[in-house]
Amino acid sequence: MKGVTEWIWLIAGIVAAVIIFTMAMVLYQNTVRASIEKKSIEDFSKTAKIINNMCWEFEGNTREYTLELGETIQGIYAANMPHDKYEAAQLTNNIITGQQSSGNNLCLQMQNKKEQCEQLDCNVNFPFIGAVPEEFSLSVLINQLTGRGKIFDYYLQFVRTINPPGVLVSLGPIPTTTIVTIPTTSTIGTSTTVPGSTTTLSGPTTTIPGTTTTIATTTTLPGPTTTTLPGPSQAILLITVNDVVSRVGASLDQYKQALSGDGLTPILIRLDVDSDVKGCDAGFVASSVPVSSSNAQRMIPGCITKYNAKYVVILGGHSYIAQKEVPVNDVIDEFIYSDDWYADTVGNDGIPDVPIGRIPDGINHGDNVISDYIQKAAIPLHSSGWGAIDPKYGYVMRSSDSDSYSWEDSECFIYSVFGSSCGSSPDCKLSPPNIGVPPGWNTNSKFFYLDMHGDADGYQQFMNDHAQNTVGASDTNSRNWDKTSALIYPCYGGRINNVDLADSFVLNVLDKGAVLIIGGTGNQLGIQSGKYCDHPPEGSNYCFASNIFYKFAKGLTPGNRIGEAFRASKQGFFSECSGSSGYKQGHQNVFYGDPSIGV
Amino acid sequence: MINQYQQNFEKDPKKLIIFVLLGILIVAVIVLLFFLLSSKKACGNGICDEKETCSSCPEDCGSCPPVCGNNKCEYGEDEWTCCDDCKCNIKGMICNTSTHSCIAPSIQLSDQEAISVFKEYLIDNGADSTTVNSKEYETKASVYDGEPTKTVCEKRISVGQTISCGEIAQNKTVVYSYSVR
Repeated sequence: MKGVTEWIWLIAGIVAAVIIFTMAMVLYQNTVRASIEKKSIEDFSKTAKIINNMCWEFEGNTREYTLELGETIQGIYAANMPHDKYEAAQLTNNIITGQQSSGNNLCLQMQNKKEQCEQLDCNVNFPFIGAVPEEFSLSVLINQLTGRGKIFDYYLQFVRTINPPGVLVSLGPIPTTTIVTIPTTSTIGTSTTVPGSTTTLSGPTTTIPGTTTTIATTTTLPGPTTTTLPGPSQAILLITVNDVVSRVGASLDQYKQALSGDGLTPILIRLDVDSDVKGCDAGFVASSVPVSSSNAQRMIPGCITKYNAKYVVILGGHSYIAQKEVPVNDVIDEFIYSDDWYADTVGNDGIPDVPIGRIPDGINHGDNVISDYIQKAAIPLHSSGWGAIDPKYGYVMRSSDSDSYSWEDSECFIYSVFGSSCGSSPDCKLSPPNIGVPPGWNTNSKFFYLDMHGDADGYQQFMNDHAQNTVGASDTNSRNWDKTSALIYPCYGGRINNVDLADSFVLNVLDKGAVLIIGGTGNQLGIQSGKYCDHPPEGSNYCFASNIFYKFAKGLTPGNRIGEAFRASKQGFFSECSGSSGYKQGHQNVFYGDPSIGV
Repeated sequence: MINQYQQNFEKDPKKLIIFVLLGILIVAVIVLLFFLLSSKKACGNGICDEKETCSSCPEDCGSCPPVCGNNKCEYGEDEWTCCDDCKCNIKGMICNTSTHSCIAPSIQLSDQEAISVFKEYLIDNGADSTTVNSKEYETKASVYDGEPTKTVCEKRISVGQTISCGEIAQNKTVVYSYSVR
């Protein structure tokens, strides 16, 4: 009996020891595997960063970098579309046969994980790299048991190219590698030795951590030229969706370059691309286009916070990223539309905390408005600045046929900005008696102000009580809008939300090279007392668009950027106007254009 | 060696119990550590694994959707979608907790009374009384300068027509008037 008890104790002891040992091994294995995986992901991110930096450098600049990839990394490759996934076998084949991939996304595919892609600032030609499965051997088994697996070192060379534009990445000549063998005894008593010799390899080198020490002599390439951008860099978010990126094409890269040249750091965020919005704290990616305003409201402020962005540009119209439908529900309008909430990061008050602008593009619009705006206004003005706001031109409706005065709040605006009342200023015309388009309409004024009635059904029909269709679509088309800022007082002058409408005033004017448009998405309010005004249109009695326009015009000073002037004008307006009508006027006047253009 | 331990255990069975309990404790601690460490390693690796959620690992999966009623005004919530959590930004408006949207409080002034006050105001300010009285008017609850009002506007009958509006306070005065372009 005593003997049996002894044996029971012995077997129980062995079983307990085996269990504890197995658990410890699993724990160790997981820890090692996780740390190797983490290092691989870090190396992947660093590679993407190197490529992004090189996108903004000069032709011929080079870099080199050695990645260490764990055995769970199935592949790293470039792709045009994020989420372009390969079968594991296909990836292995591409790696072994030395295939190249290209695209403006760098993707990482791991075992049992969703692939992740990082969007790049330019196109990259990248070799397929990753862990290649090995045939079974004792050393493989030991490494499997210890969780180390194999580490695959890839030595990459990066070259900035212009033709084709982008970065070319190739597997560089592997540096001369000396493998020093340090025999170690494994925990289960098997000694593992890797033959020690000086080896020149032509593929990925394999190192077994802990067992061998790799001392690499790195080949030094001609020293990389560093590019210093002017001034401190400020992040500008380009918020859009994948369809718009395809539609805008090469102009987008040129736009980013122009922004970089102006001391800004452009960050492209497609709300429907997982890797772009990751980290913006929304916790989801937009699954359909148009991106709803509630989704945009959840995603964009988080992105601004994440990147500490100083400016935001929404690329795309209501058909791609919807404006917020604000239920003002007053006597005249059920809703107005606004982008203000998308830039509200502090206080949840709906007031933008960073300058936000939108370059819209209707699905039904024939021209590529975003691309045209980038080429005609954004790129030239980011290199030169917009310049002074002179010459100015205004076109304002009168209060009545018999009245020689314009609407009072407009009169106050004209008086304060133009230096005299509209009736007596050579730069401002009253309508009527100028039935139809007045003389001076076609000037290439840099600063344009229009006060008329607008039409909810046709956003280019501007009229007044006394002469219908004073300004129509053909007049709008024939005017020279090049480098003009347009402050549009008519109702619906800033409306873009009707996707059935092939055209809108905003789209047409931006397509013709205007710097910016500020216009209302609902009915505009004002005062028509028919009197001259000799004071600025501000204060509690002037909670109208003319107050915002006036504050904006005052902020257009050298050294400032136009969006900053508009953001400040809105904040000033809201500090004066707290009622329902002021709320509506403040939010419904939307900024269209690039807010980061310098005055 | 084993015999020695066995004799000890036979002499004092308490020692055996302590030994077994100690063994179980060690195994339990190891298992616990294993799960803690393995889950910690997965969270924060930049990938939202299947086992991770917005609440268990916001670092990888992003934050959870906003919840109306948790006293936090989160991104995606505002005065029109969740005034329970977000303040009403129009001074004087109140939160309707059933629709979760801010509204203007109603005042003790009938629509007809408000319209009459506004008509009187227009005529006093030079408008033709026949024209004023021939027009139709609409009203809506509103606020002005923090006080509840009733907005009265002429009904617009044609596109491009200027209409007049006024904010009427409960004391039957016009506190603000304007036109619509």
